[in-house]
Formats: sequence, C-alpha cells, structure tokens
Amino acid sequence: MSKKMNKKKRRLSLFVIIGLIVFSLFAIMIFVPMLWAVITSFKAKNDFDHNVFGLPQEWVVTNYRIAFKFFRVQGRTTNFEPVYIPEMLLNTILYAGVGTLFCVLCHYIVAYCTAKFPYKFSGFIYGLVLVIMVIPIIGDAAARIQFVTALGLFDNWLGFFFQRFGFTGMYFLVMHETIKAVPNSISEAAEIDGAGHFQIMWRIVLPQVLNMLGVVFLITFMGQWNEYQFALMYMPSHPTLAYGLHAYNNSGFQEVSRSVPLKLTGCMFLFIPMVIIFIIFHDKMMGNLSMGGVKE
Amino acid sequence: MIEKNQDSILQEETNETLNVSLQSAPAGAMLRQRKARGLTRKRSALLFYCLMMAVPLIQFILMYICVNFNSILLSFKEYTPSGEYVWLENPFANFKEVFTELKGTQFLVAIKNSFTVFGCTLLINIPLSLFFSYYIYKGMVGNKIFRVALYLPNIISSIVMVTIFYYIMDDAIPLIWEKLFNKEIDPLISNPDTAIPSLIAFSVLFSFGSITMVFSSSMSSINESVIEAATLDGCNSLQEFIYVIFPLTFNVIKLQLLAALVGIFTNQLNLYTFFDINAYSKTWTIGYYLYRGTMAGGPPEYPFYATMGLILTLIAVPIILSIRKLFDKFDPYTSQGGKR
Repeated sequence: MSKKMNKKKRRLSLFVIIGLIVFSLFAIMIFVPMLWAVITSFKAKNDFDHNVFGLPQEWVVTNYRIAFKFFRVQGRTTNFEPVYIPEMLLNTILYAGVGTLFCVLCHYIVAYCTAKFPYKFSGFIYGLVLVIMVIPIIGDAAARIQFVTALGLFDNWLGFFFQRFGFTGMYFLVMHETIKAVPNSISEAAEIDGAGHFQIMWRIVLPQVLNMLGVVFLITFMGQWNEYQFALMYMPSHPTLAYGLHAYNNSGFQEVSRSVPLKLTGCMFLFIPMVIIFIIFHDKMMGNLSMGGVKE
Repeated sequence: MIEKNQDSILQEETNETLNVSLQSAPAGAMLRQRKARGLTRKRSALLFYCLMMAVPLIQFILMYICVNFNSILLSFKEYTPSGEYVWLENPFANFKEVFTELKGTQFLVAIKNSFTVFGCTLLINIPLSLFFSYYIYKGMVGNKIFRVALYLPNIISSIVMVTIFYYIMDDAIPLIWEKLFNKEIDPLISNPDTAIPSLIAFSVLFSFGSITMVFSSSMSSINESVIEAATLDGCNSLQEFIYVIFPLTFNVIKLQLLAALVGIFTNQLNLYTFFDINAYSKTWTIGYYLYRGTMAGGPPEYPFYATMGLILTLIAVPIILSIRKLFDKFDPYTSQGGKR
C-alpha cells in the first residue's frame, strides 16, 4: 500500500515540474554566488576587472596573504590598538564557544529544574518564558548598554558571559520537553543508590539528553560565530572574526576598498570554517531541526 | 523493557529493606524516621533547586526586568555634558521629541519600507515557503540538494552573504545585463533608486530558507495514517495540502506570521551590514533607524531611543496580541473542533 502511494507521489505531475523549476532557480541563486565568491578570491585585481565571471587566468593565493595582513580592527577598541586575526580568532572562540556553552548550560539548568521539580514556581517560570516570547520588546539596546555599563559589565568577558547566561528562548521550551520525557524512574533508582540531586542532574539525566544539547550547542555556536552586531555593541574592544570582517569591509585601506577579490577573500575567513562544520555535521543539524528548535 | 526490569528489581530491594527495618524497629520510631528522611529529602531538593536557579534568575532580573525598567527611567532623563543621566525638568520632553520625530519624513520612509518588507514576507516568503516545504515533505525529485540550498544561507554569516550579494548586484548583474541586452545599467545597490528593491530581494531570497525548514519539519511530524486516510478518500495533492496539511501546521504558520509582524519594528533589512551608518535615507527601516541611532548617537542619544523603543513596544504589543487572538479564532484546525 505504502509503496503504491510512494510511486504515486513520485510521478512527474505539474506540481513536481513547477517545484523543480522554482527550486532549481533558487538553488542556482544560492550556490552560484557562493561559488563565484570562492573563485573570485583567487583572482588578481586586474584579472577580475576584465574577467568578472570566468575562471582565474592565474590562480592567485597572495590575496589570502594580503587579506590576512589588512584584516584588522583599528580605532574601535578602547586602547586604539589594532587587533589582528589571531586575537580575533581567540575572541571568536570565547564569544561563540564559551558564550554558547554558558547559554546552553543555563538553558539546561533552568529546564531541568522546572521539568523535574514540580513546584508552583517552576510553572511560573515556564509561563514567563512563553509570555516573553509573545511580547516583543523593541529598541531596548540603548537602555541595555547604559545599564550594562553602570553595572561594570560593558566591554569585558565577565559581562559578556553573564549576558549569555540567560534562559528565555525557544531552546528552553525544547529542553524542557526533552528533559520531562526522561523517565523519573531512572533518577529514583539513582537516588536509592545514594546519588544526590547534583549527581542525578549531571550524571544521570544529562547523558540522556546530550544528543539534543549537542544540536542546540551546534546551532547556537554557528549563530554566534556569524553574529557581529552584539559584539560591536557590547564588546567593542574584543572584536570577533565577523566583527573584523565588518571593519575590514568598511576600512579605508585603498588596497582593500578598490579590490573586489580582496574583499571576497576576507569573507572566506568566515565562510570556509562554517562550510567545513556543515559538511561534517549536516546530517545531524538538518535532521534534528524542528520548529526552529531541535527534535530527538 | 530493561528499564522496567531494573525498576521492579530496585522496587523489590527497597521493599525488602523497608520490611527488614520495620520488623526490627518499633513502628512509631520507624514512621518518624521515614517522615524525617522524607522531610530532609524535600529540604535538600528545595535547597538544590534554589541554588541552581539563583544565578539564572539574577541574570533574568538584571538583564530583562531591570533593563526594561531602565528603558522607562531613561525616557524621563537626559544626558549631561558631565556624562550623567539626570531627571528632566519637563518629564515628558523625550516623549514630545519622539512624537515629533515619528511624524518626520525620515521615520515615515522607515515605516513605509518596513511595511513593504512585511508585505513581501506575507505575499512572497510565506506562500513560497509553504510550497517548498510541501515539496520537500513529499520527498520529490532533488529534495535533498534543495534542503542543503535552503539550509546553507542560515549557517553562513549574514555579513559574508551581504558582501557577496553586494558585488553580484553591483558588478556582475550590470555586466550580464549589458551582455544580454546591450544596454548599460547602474549598479543596483549603490543606486539609491534601485537599492530598496534589491535589498528586499536579498532579504526574501536568504530568509525563506529557514522558514521553509521550519514548515517542512512541522509537516513531517504529521501522522502518516492521516495522510493515508486522505489519499484513500481520493484527495489529490492540492486537496491534501488545503484540507489536511494546512490546518495541521497552521500553528507554526501562525508563529511565522507573528514573527513577520514583529519584524516590522525590528527588521534592519541588513542595512547596517551593507552600509554601516551610511545607508541612503530612502532605504531606512524602523529596525535600522533604532540600531543606527543607538550606535551612531552614543550615550547622549540613549534617552531618546529608549523612549522611542518604549513607545513602539506600547504600539506593537496590543497589535501583536490582537492578531494572535484573531489567528486563534480563525485557526482552521481548532475551529473544526480540533485541540492543539
């Protein structure tokens, strides 16, 4: 029955033909510019001026060396010292890696507590997250910067990690549901064996939901790796690679501003690592995406 | 099965232990002991709960409640040359200034552009995303490669996509145009007249991948027996979509529509990424207006933008909540007796 239906589904109907045409156009519009950017990053400026679309007459790797040299943030940091790629990479690892770890950790802690301890307050927190998701707060950046500065949390890592240690978002709901689905009998058995609450949380329940946490971590990490406006606003002295690319694109260096291949080469510093991560984890990431969150 | 066995073994062991204890100790003392143990366990659970929740709650109080409260306070303050925020003599001066600005030409342009973007999301993004997601859901030809095409823009930094798109629109397309039609055209993004349609095209192209993924995931969670029943009843693809898929995924569609509605007030149309603070005034959106003002104006402008944010929130919240209610009322699934 199911096979018959599948055959019926796969027949070339008008729907499939239209879909195929529209989708192919879309795929071309996505893949071709990316491919064009990668190829252009290997072209010399003169080559590009006369040959915008074709393959490079000579594959130039020096673009990467030059872009590496000019890829810096200058004049935006508090001490006005230029920041180069190695420091930006370190900042990006702290920003995206450790920041995401704090974010996922906080979501897990609050989701665990509210899912496993049936206090009234847990219900209140769950409802609060739902309400916050419904009510949009617009233009709170000014008040946030002023407040964060007053608390001494502006432009430093402690302040950044503290800001990341939040739980109000879609992933809280996803984690809450996943943790709730872990049978209580497992924790009860561990409790009888003498495990404390802390041990149950970290050594019994955590491994059960590790797969989901991993996917949330990966998706959040990629978002943070690519994000630059938060860093620009709250961490101006600690530029990340994305922030660096924004500065690089708007820099006044004549070598860069006049050369399209050099600007696209700058993009490759962010583009290539993400593509590699995507190639490695694409099954996990795409297979686990559900409702803007993740599914087990 | 193994879990169940383990549970029953553990239960038996516990019962045995309790029986032994009950036989060897007087009943009253044992009960007291159990009560005390239960109380200790409850107390330790509460202590653990409080300890774990403390830091996240402090963070929430400071970064959400206090920040938003500070927004209210800032709207009654002004920045002095000495670098302090002091209460205004006329407490509503910022509000007056904001209302004047809201009627100004620049803000009206921002409103117009923001609504145009919303219109495009509503009329192009959502219908096309539904079509694409149904295509993927049905596992049609090439759906795997299309999934990658949809997903890829979401993992690449917007700043990378913007840079690539900028040069495609400014360098490559005019050249293609010239070759195809033998006619020169201006670069599309650097020209203020063509910038806004080009930016909207970029926004539509690179944002509907994520919406499609969300819709197709939601469709894939529909019970297959429901679809099989519809097929047996003689539903064709279009009927299946209209009468089965659409009502069952309406909840997710509703969320995306609400997100698009919120986007009227927050969507920057990537203007800051494209132009930093130097975007053409013709292209501004409300989101860009707020972000640019905060970034370019610095501390002296914070009270003004905090007031503007407050006023826009007060405008947006009732609109969003009313439309949400409206969606709930006209939900094709619940209105036919279904329960979410």
